[in-house]
Amino acid sequence: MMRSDRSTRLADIGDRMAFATTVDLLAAGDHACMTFTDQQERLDLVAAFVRDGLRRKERVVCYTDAVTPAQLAEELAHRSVRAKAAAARGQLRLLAVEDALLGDDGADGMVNVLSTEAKTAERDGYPGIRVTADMCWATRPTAAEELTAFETAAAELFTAGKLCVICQYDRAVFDAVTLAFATATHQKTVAALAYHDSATLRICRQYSPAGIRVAGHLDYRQQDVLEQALGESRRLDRHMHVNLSALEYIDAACTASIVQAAIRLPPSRRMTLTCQPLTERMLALAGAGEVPSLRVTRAHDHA
Amino acid sequence: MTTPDHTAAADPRAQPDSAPAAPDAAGLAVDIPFTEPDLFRLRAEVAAHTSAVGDDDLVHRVLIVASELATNVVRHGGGAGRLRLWTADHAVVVEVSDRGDGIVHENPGMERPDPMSRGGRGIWFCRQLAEEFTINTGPAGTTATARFRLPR
Repeated sequence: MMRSDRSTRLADIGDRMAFATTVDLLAAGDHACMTFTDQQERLDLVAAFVRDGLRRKERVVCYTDAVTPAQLAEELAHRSVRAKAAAARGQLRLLAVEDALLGDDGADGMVNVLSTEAKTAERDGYPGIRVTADMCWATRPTAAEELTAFETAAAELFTAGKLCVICQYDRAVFDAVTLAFATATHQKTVAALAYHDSATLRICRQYSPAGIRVAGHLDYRQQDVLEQALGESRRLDRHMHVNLSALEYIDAACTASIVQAAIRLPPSRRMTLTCQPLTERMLALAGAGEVPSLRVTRAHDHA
Repeated sequence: MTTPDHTAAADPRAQPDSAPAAPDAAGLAVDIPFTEPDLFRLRAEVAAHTSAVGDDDLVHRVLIVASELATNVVRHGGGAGRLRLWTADHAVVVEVSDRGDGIVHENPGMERPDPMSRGGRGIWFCRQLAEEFTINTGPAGTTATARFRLPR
């Protein structure tokens, strides 16, 4: 390829804007970029993507690097995805990135992999195929160009309208310039919907299982935002999951907001909450033990 | 920065109540004047100092009490206060004081709050977590003192 052609293409890409969406809105034909710093959020979004694909009877393929395929199966199972059953019947394939590429690395390698998977899914009778991959294979000095080449070549695969892809970019691994290219070369970007995002606190929507996730330190100053997030989960989710496993501190005011949200649920609905010991103690003081619809479990560390 | 003088109403040593007297400045593990932006740092200091003398259970209890008292100062006690923490007689003592208008209730936090109530549960929480809790309040300010026994 002529150097000037590649340079021109890179310059064009800077002007493009990707459309931000949420994981639950992705459908066949979408090619989305997900950037993340938090492994738990990445796993949540991947779980939701997998779950939606399985429900639609599509084939789902995950290329994983940070965790092994076996660990990924465990993580998915923890997030309400029937991964083992789906894998047993061949609908779900979990593969290590390096195994999939088998030395045929770089942009062409990944395009060939995608193309082969799409053809195989069709041959096996699936109406569509979803693929998600950790893009760590592109971490080299020429990563920006490799990704550009990949995304451009892969675009052709989407024209049949049966392929849906999320490319995952770990912010700890890619530099800011490469991430900017990644975002610009995709049709859409996917991230968890964040109600509050600061250095000390993150409140965001959790997709699998559905509810909210709060990490960091939470006090009365964000009580309104917390209640907004709880309210949205109450509207959208039959059973609310409140993931406080990465919440280090919560005050009495916010603890009360959570307990009150559970009290207000109608008898047929539940709130399942996962938390650390300090939060468990605060919930007990706030009367969580007397709320039948609220189930509190202590968080355990996953890999 | 000079620490503000305490008026008689806010000084525990002038009260008939049995709040432990604070040691002089050299004996204080923590001595922080604070307003709202200091809450995060205040929690970190309280947790750090308490973890040097006690287990997680103690750290959580002291942290929760210190933070709820400080929050009350910020939200209802005039916005500025002072937190002191020290160890004495096999106990950790936390003292939070302000120069606000005082608490209306004579004996706040004695009744378990309704779970659906909007606010007013911080002091009740403190009374459940500290072995001893005294609160002296008046028109010149409030001082709350919580004592946590250390295992021998």
